[in-house]
Amino acid sequence: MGLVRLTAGARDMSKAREAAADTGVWPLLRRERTWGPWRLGIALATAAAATWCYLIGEYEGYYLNFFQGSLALTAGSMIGMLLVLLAAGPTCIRFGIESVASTKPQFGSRGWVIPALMQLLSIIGWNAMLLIFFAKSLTQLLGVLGWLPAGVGALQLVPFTTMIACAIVLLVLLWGASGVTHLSNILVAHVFVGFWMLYLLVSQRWPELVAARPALAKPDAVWNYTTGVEIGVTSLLSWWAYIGALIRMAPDGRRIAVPVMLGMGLPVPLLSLIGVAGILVLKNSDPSAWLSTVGGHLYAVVGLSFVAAANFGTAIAGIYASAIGLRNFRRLNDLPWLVVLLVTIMPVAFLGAFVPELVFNHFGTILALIGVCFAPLCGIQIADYYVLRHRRIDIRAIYETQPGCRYYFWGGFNPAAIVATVVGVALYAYLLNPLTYESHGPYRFLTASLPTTLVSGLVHVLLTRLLVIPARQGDYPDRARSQT
Amino acid sequence: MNDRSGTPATREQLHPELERRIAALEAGPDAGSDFDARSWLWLVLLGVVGPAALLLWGWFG
Repeated sequence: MGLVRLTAGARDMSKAREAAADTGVWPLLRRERTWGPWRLGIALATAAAATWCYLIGEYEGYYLNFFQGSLALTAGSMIGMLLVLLAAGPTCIRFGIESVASTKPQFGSRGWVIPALMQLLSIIGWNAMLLIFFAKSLTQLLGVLGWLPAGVGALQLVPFTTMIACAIVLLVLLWGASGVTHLSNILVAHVFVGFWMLYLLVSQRWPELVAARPALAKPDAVWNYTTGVEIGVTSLLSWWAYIGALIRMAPDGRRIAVPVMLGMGLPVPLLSLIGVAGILVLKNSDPSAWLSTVGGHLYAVVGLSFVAAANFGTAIAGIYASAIGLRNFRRLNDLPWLVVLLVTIMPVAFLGAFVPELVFNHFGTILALIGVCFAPLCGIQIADYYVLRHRRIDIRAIYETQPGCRYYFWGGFNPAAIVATVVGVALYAYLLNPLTYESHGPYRFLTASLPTTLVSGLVHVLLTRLLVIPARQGDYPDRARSQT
Repeated sequence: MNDRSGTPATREQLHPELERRIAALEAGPDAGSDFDARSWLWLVLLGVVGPAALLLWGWFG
């Protein structure tokens, strides 16, 4: 009897430990990583499919017509997805860790705070915008239903709905990763509603769509086309912040390539076509604004409901990824999950409630700043993993923090990665000014993100071989020693 | 301090639960695998060949 109780007690403790594991930053073991390819694909598609797609499409439609815009955006998005997956994917999937922890071999046992800040700012920016979009859609839905009191508009409702949205996100995420997957199974329907909205617009306005000319297109056709690709690459680079927390729930790298590329990479450009078509034909990328015109009252209600709900899927995945990333800070790792969630959500709630228009009106800048930050990061991670370390990562060293540990470098920071990041940011800003979209040099042939990724990786390799490896820092394989 | 091979002379004391997880990963079966040849084929197809084809179609089509 006593043995049975002891066994049951040990089993309960083990279950509780495994249930808590997905709300922590420590590596997940294979048996805790229960998402198969379908489940992973659905969770990723739900995270990807949100109203930012319409904004991405809007920017695409400023420079390219529907045909070229569709192809350039899809191509750019798939390239961006590949870079993100190659950068963070291998380390995250092998050891069940999230994106920020995967940067410790490159940035150092303290230097990881640099990518952690990038992740936090990116997720706060994106999710504040999504929740504002949610509030606007909800206002329009209430207007269509005739439930909006006279004199009340989006401006008055945004702070209120943002707070409600944050509260719902918080409640769902108390379940950790299972909260993400349960909601994903419902909200994935949004992807199909999105395709239905695209079908509506394309089928009813095809002649106008084909004839439409982009409003801000420059006389230089190459520049327009390259910018179309750049928008795709940059948009998908922002998935770096999300990808680790989600793919670590899958047990095996051999089964994630297709779900990630098709589940996370493809829905964004496909749903962005709604925005491209909307801005070209109706001069408005937001389907919640034009659905009643195109499809009537019923279509507007169905569409708006899903548009509003869809942002939850992404916001939930984003807040989850960011909260897990913040767990890398030792003090936050010791706090209850609820407190970490509150710390993550509060900046989003603040922006959405108090300065919503500021965030909403600077979408292009947020997009470009993401490219500025994540392109160098991807280049450094890819070069470090494949070229310098030959795929050898020490999981124990990722969690060591004391001076002299293997990823300590100098003072916990790796100057090679930091210099490569600075060079990358400077190069990106030179090639494409993120604030003015003014471009220089080979941008019109190469984009800004791709050369930035390449050059950052090269600088990291060069400095590591010249400085870090000779100083026997960073636990890099010594080429000379391994050849003898 | 690191020795000449870059391995710390003394192992850092980690939280027991973290130590248990790392030991399980180091043992092998609990770790996930990297991309295999089939994954690389998909990655090249969806991330390089496909986009290149789309770009050529968009420009010349």
